[in-house]
Amino acid sequence: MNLQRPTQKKFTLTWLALVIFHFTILGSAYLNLGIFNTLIIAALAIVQMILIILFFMEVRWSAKLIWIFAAAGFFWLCILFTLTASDYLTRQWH
Amino acid sequence: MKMPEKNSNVAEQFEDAQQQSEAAHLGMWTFIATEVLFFGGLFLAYFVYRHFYFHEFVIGSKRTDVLFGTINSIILLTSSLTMALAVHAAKENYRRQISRWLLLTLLLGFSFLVVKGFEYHKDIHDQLVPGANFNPALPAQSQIFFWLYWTMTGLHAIHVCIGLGVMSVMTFLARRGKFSAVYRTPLELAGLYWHFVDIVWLFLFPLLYLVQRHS
Repeated sequence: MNLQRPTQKKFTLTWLALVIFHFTILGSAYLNLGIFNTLIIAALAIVQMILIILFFMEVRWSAKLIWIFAAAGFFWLCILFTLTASDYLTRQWH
Repeated sequence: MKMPEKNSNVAEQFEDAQQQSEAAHLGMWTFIATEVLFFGGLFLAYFVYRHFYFHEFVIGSKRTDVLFGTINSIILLTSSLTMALAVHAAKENYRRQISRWLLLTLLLGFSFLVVKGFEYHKDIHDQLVPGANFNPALPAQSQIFFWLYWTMTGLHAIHVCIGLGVMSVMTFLARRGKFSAVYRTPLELAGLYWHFVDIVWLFLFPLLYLVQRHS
């Protein structure tokens, strides 16, 4: 399965990208960007998560079965959020 | 039929070391999926209450200390790097480097808890604990924000503590020369756990510290 091998350089670059994204998130929070505040933070946090899963957790170099198991938890999380939101966001609770 | 040769590290139900390692990784990822849903319940509660009490969440979030949060984010991100490098050192059979990277990971994890301790001390001093002594200058509903703040960061800190325990054992084993390119599964699984704990923090940080910071 290991067609390409992870290297120290790849890990260090991943870390650098994570730190840059972190400070981008932090900086953007102090600017009034309206709806984009939330969108930018959410998008960059998800990119950070994907970078960690692919590189630090080495899923990029793992078997496809691992990909499925890694995605499964988040898939179920989406179901949890979607079904809950379908109730709370569509009914008048107050 | 000729039985394949097995080394002492392979349990009898497995064909070979690779199959055993893949089964262990699959088990760890299954555990991480349960952890995603474990924290997921709290994240869900956060979003529901944020939807209902957004204004109070903004007020509460501004009382958290961004400097402590940022320092801890960088500490955890860096500890993930040192952990990945420990696993990498094992894979490349640089056996003496393994325990060095692990010690650094331990040190960073411990620093995270120390910074968190200082932050908690400041939070308690600022009367940000929900209950009878909650800061009267803040709206009562912002206690919901702080209930989530303490529960989520507390649960995360417990995970860091468990990670430090696991990492101590890994460091001990690495120093005894247990891990190499041939046998490194426990080290890789400990790494997966540590990176997961890092991911949880990456979401906690913007959700708790950065709600409408600009306003």
